[in-house]
Amino acid sequence: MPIDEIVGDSLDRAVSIEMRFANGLPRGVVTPLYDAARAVAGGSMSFRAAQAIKRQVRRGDHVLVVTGAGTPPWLPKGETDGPLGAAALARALELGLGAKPILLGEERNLPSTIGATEAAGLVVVDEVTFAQRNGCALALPLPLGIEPGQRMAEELFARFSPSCVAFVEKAGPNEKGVFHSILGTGRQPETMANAHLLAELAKQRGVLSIGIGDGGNEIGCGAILEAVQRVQPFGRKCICPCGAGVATVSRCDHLVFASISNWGAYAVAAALAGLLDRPDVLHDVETEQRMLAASLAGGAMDGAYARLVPCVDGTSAAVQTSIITLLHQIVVNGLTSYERGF
Amino acid sequence: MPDHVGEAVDRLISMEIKNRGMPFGILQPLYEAARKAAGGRPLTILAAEGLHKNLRRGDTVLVLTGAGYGPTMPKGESDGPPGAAALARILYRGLGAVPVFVCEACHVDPIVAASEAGGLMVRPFVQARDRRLGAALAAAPADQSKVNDWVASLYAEMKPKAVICTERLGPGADGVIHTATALPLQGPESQFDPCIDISGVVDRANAEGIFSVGIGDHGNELGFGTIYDAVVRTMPKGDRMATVTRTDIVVPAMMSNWGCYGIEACLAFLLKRPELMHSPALEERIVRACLDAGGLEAMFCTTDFSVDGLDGETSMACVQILGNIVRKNLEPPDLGLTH
Repeated sequence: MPIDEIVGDSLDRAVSIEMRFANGLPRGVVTPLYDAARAVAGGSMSFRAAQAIKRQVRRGDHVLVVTGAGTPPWLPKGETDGPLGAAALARALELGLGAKPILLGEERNLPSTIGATEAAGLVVVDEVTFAQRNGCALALPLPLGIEPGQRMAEELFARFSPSCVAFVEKAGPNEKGVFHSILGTGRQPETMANAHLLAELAKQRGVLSIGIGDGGNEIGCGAILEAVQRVQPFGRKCICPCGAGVATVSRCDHLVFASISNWGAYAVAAALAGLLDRPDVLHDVETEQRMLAASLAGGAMDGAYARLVPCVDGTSAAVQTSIITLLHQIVVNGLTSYERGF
Repeated sequence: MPDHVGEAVDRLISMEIKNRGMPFGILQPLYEAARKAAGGRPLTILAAEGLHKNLRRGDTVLVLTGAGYGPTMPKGESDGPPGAAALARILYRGLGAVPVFVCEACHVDPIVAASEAGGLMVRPFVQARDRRLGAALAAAPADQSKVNDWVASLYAEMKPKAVICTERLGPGADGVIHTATALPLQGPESQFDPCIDISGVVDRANAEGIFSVGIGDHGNELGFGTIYDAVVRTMPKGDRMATVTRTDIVVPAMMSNWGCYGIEACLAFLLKRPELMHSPALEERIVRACLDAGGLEAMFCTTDFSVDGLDGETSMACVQILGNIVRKNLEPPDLGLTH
């Protein structure tokens, strides 16, 4: 018997434990934003996202997995939050459903994303090979700017007819079209991939979209716009000239809100593993370690320390593997029925 | 400010990871009722604040534990002693308190083993009190009719300033102690070895206004009388298994050990001493020592490295994350604005 939504709620809770510095970065924000996102979902976020994926994605379907956060000059090749989640999700979609994952991100963010994906066991190949075999992934760069972004989005949909688009820690614009860090600094559309155009196209074409975020400035968090404006210190008003706040208006069919975006993606993979009665669809502890090392080798830095250290949003490698251990236990026990007889 | 930590810790330790053969979907309702009863703040930080406030250096704190009986678990189970040991350890090291494990004779071995694996020796009370050599232990008499006098002598000698109960079963409305599945552990219907009711230790604390904490995972454990109605409503056969014994704070957790570890983490935070939180490696030592001494895993009744149907590695992960919550919340930011 597959897992039910009670198990899904445990998965959600496991990935929404806040662990932030004593000051400097926003604190006390995860629980209220989790509550808002869960209310919008009407139940377990990871469970419902995984249910939709299982319903929509058929063997051989293309799925787009978009990631890449952190910008130059501080994080020139991105950060460790994003690539691992994208890789875990790509792996789960391929292993569990036979989908063909296409990883997307700014050119600067691709080395870490490709590294993490290959560490997860999916070789990243050229497009010809990608069409010929399974057990692999394709990685393509997204151009910077709005117009190139729009053309690329249309081209991707035309070439691949994806049945699902997932965004992991991918910045979305506010109501004035400006992107922001969680601390309120602005980033102009010309410097970003404008991946939200993929979400909008998915909406138009009736293609399933999943957004995974941890702050409120990531694609998908438009579903909880009001809560982000209320809860995040720079939610309503940023420190860049636009003045319209960091909260994104970009929405998806499903939002999965987590303490760290990678973990949100792991929860979706775990829920899918539970629904498929296949715990191995969630990657294991050793794979997590390899993925983190590979993303660092690709130049991704920890976003909180801004160093090439094996951490994610300021939490240690041991914490990443501990989260994986917890998620596995939740899935395995959720699939087990043992009456002890007393 | 401290509630950031309490919130994160509560969330971790109250996740339900149960297998489907046991009462399922029960932890959230119990947790929410307990939090409401405590006034709305996170429970682990409330318990830690209460202990911090009430225990001065040299004060005695009673730590009641021990569940599981023969023939299935003759020396009890691996949920209980490790949590009691971890809490006793930080109360001793962090606050200078004198922890005294209070239990039944059948449960002594795993409790002593867990405590000593955690680095806290178990000595005669006078040595623990006067020479600060570690924790002490008091085992209840095997004759229920002698328990009242024993409780009185315990309070006369030790003068406790706080009482903690973890995975220690309490009597129901009919005065009988039951398992989580509502089987009687006392009286003519019981199919288990004798079980002594030591809830009088808690009743005395409540009568004297001594701070008390109850930690459990089903609602038959001492302390859950505070949310009696919620237990009756939530648990299968709740009207039979729910205990009536109350504590000031009740902490429903995935397993009682995790509730203790959560309070331990909050104490480490309040004391600004993250190093006091026990490590995953020490967690393995403590749990294995408990198992090897006969405190069995309670689902399969084995000495496999596991607690309440969860792999030992999962408890190590829990401890790892708790330590990280404490460290992060005491750590200043590193490079400033990089985002």
